[in-house]
Amino acid sequence: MSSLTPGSGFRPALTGALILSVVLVAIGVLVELYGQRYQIRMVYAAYVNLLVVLGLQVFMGNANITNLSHSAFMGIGAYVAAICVTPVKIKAISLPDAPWGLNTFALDPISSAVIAVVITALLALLVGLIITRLTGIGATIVSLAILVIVHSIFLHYTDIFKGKQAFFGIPRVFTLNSILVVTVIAVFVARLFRESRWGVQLRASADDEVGARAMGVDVFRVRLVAWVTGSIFLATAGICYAYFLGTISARPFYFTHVFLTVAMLILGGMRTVTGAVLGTVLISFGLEGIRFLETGPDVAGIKLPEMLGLSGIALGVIIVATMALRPSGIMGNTEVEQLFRRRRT
Amino acid sequence: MLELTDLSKRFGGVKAVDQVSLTIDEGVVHGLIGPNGAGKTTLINLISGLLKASGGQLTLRGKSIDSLEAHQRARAGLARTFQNLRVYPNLTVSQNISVAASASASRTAGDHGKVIREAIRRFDLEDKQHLPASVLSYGHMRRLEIVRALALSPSVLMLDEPAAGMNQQETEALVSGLEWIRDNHGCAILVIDHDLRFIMRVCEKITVMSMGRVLTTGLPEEVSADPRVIAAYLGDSADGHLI
Ligand SMILES: Nc1ncnc2c1ncn2[C@@H]1O[C@H](COP(=O)(O)OP(=O)(O)OP(=O)(O)O)[C@@H](O)[C@H]1O
Ligand SMILES: [Mg+2]
Repeated sequence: MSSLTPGSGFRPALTGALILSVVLVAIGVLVELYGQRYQIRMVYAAYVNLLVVLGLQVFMGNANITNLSHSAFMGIGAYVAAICVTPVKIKAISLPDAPWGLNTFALDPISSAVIAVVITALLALLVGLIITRLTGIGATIVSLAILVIVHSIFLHYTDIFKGKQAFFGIPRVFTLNSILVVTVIAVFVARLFRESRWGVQLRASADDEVGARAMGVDVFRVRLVAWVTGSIFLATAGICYAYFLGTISARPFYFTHVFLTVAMLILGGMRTVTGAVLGTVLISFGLEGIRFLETGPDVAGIKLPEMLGLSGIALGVIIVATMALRPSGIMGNTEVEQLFRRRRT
Repeated sequence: MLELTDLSKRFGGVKAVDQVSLTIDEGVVHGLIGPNGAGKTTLINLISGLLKASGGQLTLRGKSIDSLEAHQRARAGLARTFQNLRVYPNLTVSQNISVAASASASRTAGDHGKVIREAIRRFDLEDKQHLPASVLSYGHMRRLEIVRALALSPSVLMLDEPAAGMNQQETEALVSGLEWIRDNHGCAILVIDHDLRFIMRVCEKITVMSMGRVLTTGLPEEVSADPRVIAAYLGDSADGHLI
């Protein structure tokens, strides 16, 4: 068996994606059956973040270019869907001064989601034309600037985005089941992309850009494909977020979220889809434990002190420790199905 | 087939390649030799488009390729290896090869995969296909670079010091490998090396460069007897043959 023709890595990729999906669905179903409302919310949020981390993996992981703008694109997806889907009656109250007649129509959730994905992808395409021509620090700084620009727009164009106030009244059409379906699809797409002709060429360019160009790889093109593909994941995450909570604001699409999701990807290992999933699961559950400690709970009859800010410190420590001890993350280059194959041989 | 006309490259004040004119013919193994710093690698960088020429023209099969980017030239049939290896360390051996294979203009051709698999066997990489390229020995990395370049189905294959760091036995295998490529792929091979014994064995034609310029082009026996060549290699005190 050889993988000389593009896409012949698809079979192991499907196996790997299937294994990850089974685990994700199992967690979801368990929580649905036995969890409290609070826990369902927490797992839903973790799966939204997983969509973000997968989107991040598609570009940042395969191209090895640090991206910090992803939460902005998630926000764009969320706001566009929210503006399209929110009923006219509510928009008349919440967005009385909206331009271009944005408060005069409302679409069904599916059309709204499609429009949100398309607009996000088009904006990503524009930004991507710049980002993909840069590498290293240049690309990262530009992505940071994009994050700040988009956040400022969310905050200050209050006629559309309501600024610091909540954008409310979004129909809450999604349940934990909905996001399970979306996440499973996303895991498969991310994994197939990684093994596709584009994915392999992109990973080659990450290892050695000159070496890739000399072998016929159109480096800018494959980066752009990955960047726009990643933005579709991000828009989808934003839509899922809005459709579940019914309320959005600018704050969740900014630094804290960027930092959280980057930590997830780095801990698991950005080169693999398995790493993206593992990092997200570990940090999501780990943070729950830490939040519990932050409140200063009683443990075995001893009252612990309040430890505010512990979660921020923990994330920072995770990033530093991973970078120092295992820079390619827990998984390195290994996808989940390779763990089994390795054991057999 | 590949024609260089007055090709030049300056780095600041250094004329690394100075008005080089050269023709690489179809199916010929063409040697390129010269002392360190002669401009051999720079010449390959100009041909493959990784460096922009300061002057001169390049044509492939009569068509100008001056305006093509590096990846377009690779797809047009100009493949190369690197003196300082550039394998993709995090990809497996077969993925390394698939990068070129999937970019190749003939990737849809029916026997493309078969030809590459044959090359993998010839260059002793068959049992290493699933290993990450980073764990290969130096000699195997060099071979991987050759097979990877071949996967582009090139019309000109440029090898920058393929025998460097190889022992006698490996060089022997390389010689027969190159002969196999010449006989089965029908591409021209431009090969740079400092191992003159190796060059004399595999090349039908040799070009000698010194200080950015072409000293001479000719048959191996003409070149090795040329006093200018001997002087460039050994300095003025030289007497006698190169080998
Ligand atoms: N990127 C660069 N910037 C500046 N000078 C360069 C660059 N690349 C090569 N040179 C100079 O150009 C000249 C030719 O270098 P080149 O590497 O082409 O020689 P070479 O014939 O391949 O030598 P060797 O046999 O040692 O590999 C040298 O003087 C070198 O220092
Ligand atoms: Mg050189």
